[in-house]
Amino acid sequence: MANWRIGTKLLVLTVPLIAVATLLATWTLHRLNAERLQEKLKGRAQSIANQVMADRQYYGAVVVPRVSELQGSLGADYRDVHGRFPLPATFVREVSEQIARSGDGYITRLISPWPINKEMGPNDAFETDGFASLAHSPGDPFVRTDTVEGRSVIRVLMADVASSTSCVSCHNAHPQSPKRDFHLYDVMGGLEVIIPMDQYLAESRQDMAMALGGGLVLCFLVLGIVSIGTQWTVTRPLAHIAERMAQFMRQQPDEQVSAQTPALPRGDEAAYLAQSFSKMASVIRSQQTALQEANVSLEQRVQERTAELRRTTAEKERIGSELRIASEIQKSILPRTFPPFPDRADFEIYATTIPALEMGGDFYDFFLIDDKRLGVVIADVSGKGVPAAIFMAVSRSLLKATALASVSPSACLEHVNRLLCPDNDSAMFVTVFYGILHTESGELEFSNGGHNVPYIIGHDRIVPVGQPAGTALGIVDDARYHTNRMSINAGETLVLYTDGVTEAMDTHGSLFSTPRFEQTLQRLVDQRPFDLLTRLVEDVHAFASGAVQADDITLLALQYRRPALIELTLVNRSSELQRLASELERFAQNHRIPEPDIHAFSLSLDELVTNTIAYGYDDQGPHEIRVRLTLANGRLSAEVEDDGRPFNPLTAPQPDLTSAVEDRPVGGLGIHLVRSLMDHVDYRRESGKNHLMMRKQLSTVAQPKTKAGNHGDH
Amino acid sequence: MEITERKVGKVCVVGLNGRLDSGTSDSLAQRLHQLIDGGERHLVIDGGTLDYISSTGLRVLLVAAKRLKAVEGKIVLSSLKPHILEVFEIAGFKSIFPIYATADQAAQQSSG
Repeated sequence: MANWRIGTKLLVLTVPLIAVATLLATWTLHRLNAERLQEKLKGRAQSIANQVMADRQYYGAVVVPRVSELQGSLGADYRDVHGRFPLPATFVREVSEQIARSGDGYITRLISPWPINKEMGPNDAFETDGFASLAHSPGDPFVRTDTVEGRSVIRVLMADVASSTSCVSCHNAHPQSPKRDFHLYDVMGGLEVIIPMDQYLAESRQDMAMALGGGLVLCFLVLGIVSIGTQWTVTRPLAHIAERMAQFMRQQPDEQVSAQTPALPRGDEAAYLAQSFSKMASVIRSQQTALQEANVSLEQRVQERTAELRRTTAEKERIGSELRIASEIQKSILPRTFPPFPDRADFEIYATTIPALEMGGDFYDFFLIDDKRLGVVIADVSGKGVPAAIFMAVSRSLLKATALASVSPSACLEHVNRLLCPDNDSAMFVTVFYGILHTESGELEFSNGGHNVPYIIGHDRIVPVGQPAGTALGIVDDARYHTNRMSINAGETLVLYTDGVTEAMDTHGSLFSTPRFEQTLQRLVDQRPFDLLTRLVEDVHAFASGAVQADDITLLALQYRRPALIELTLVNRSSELQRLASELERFAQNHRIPEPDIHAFSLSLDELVTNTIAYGYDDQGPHEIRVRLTLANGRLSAEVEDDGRPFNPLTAPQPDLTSAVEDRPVGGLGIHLVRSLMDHVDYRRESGKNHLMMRKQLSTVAQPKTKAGNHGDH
Repeated sequence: MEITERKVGKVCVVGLNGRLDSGTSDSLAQRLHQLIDGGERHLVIDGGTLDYISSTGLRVLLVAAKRLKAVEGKIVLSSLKPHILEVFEIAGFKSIFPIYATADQAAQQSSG
């Protein structure tokens, strides 16, 4: 069925439907007809009964009294007895028999359960049932279809009521009457009308057959017309459209679609559909063509863009990798190995820089100018990125080179400024803080060229290092800078920073700010430089909470520690040597100095002081001999200072160490022992005093160097 | 500085206890001169408990050695602690003084 055409499907669905509907209609009509016929015949029976009753009434009311007046009698046997008249019932019966014989089609019978004439008693089930029903409700005729002598009939039984006193008296008086107590209006019997139905039924069936036949013919006629109409208006146009569509699908995109609309009935939906299809097809075709053209050009453009992108990407990668290399070079310019001076216990330093871009403009630096002076620098070049980085590299090199040769921080800044100004076409500048820590005293000499004021932090204080001062370097070539001094106590830390710290922004644009920076420092006074800066940076990052870093963040922390030392002032007496020896013993124990090393110092100092006491003075008066011992991470240094006559023991000749005992000179071994036991011995005469300096690396394994790197590496 | 003496045959073993420096050298020097003057020709300096020696101490030993050498006597050392031994080495005294591990060994060698 799925493959049947629409017309076939319509027929298959419609024909059974019509047949069933026709049958149903015919059957219903037939039922209605039968009912109506019964009703009609019942009415007719009633009319007939009324007629008969009226006749009998008339007979009873008019004829019977006249018969009585004329002294006549009444009886069923009126034919046999002269002067006798038929009874009303006889009259009725005989008239009925005549009608029945006339073939008019109906029979009337006057019957009674109490018949005077025995023939007129009830003699079948209908009549018996009829009287039973009438006894109950005399007003309702008893009706039933029945078959009498092979014919279909309708039988109606109506009550015969005693309508006049003559009827009552006659029956009550009649010798053959089985009942003699009738009263007026009693049911005395009934009139039965029998009308044959078969004739009517046959007519009705004939009508039905005709109706059915006509209906079916009409239906098929309509069906035929509709079917043909459908073929013309729906099926064929649809088939045509289907054909066109199939053709359209087979067609190559560039073939022209026939613009001709086929001959179809104009104006209806199918025609409209066909036209719409034609339009649609041509629209699709033109769109397809446009799409193909667009595809071609798109593909071309994609190829072009891809090539361009590849070129750009390669370029970007090249620039990116150069930037990375440059960034690495820039980072490597700055000292990144921590601790940078592992043998120095008198200070600890850590620094970090986190550039906002690959290349930063901030830098820090630190360097030992000599044994007792540590230079620290922090600087911020204006701008960011590559230009700042180049300017930074230049500034940093100039600063370090100049610092190592300068007498003071301010002189250093002035010199570098003069060097930076003349060729500074790009009008860049750099703010610089440069400080020199005197490691023995903790004194800090510093000069500020427009940089953020650093802090000295400790348990007792957090103080700014000087006032905001000076002009950034690279702007005015004759700018003046000043050197100021502050003291850093043992345990305190100098914190240098750039404005990338205090001006770090969170996502709402608020600044980390100087007060917050100071609070953070307050919280971290106990920390050693590495931890201090690590936590500071963590705090700044936590504050920024993911906001883009706008500026380089650079920090340097320098913790100053009082060097481990003893200072002894001895008088020029031999007994003082014992004190020196026991002080050294104690010092060695306190600082866990290995036995051979303290022995070397003990012996060396003994030799020197003994020498001085014995030979150093021209007079006999008391003199002071100062001995200072300094332990700085793994290295022990000693200095002996006396005001004796100038004597440089290092000029003493090498003693004879090989001659035989008899030739071996006595003496001159003391200085030799000192020089042999120490790594380095130095002498200077200063302010009328002899200074003998010596030092020795302790024999324990030196602390391993750690490369802490800087945060910028993360 | 404590100085002890004991005779092992013809050898005199001199035990030094403590520091031999400019404060104590003189007493050792006197003692050694007394022993040499008293006829001792074979001396063993037992350094088992010697904690310290300075160039003054070395000088005393060298002077004693020179005297004994002149009278064909001999001075040897024993039981020196490592840092004392180092000083002897630096001072070039190992070529002058035979040094033994124990005093008895030194006494045996010295008398032989």
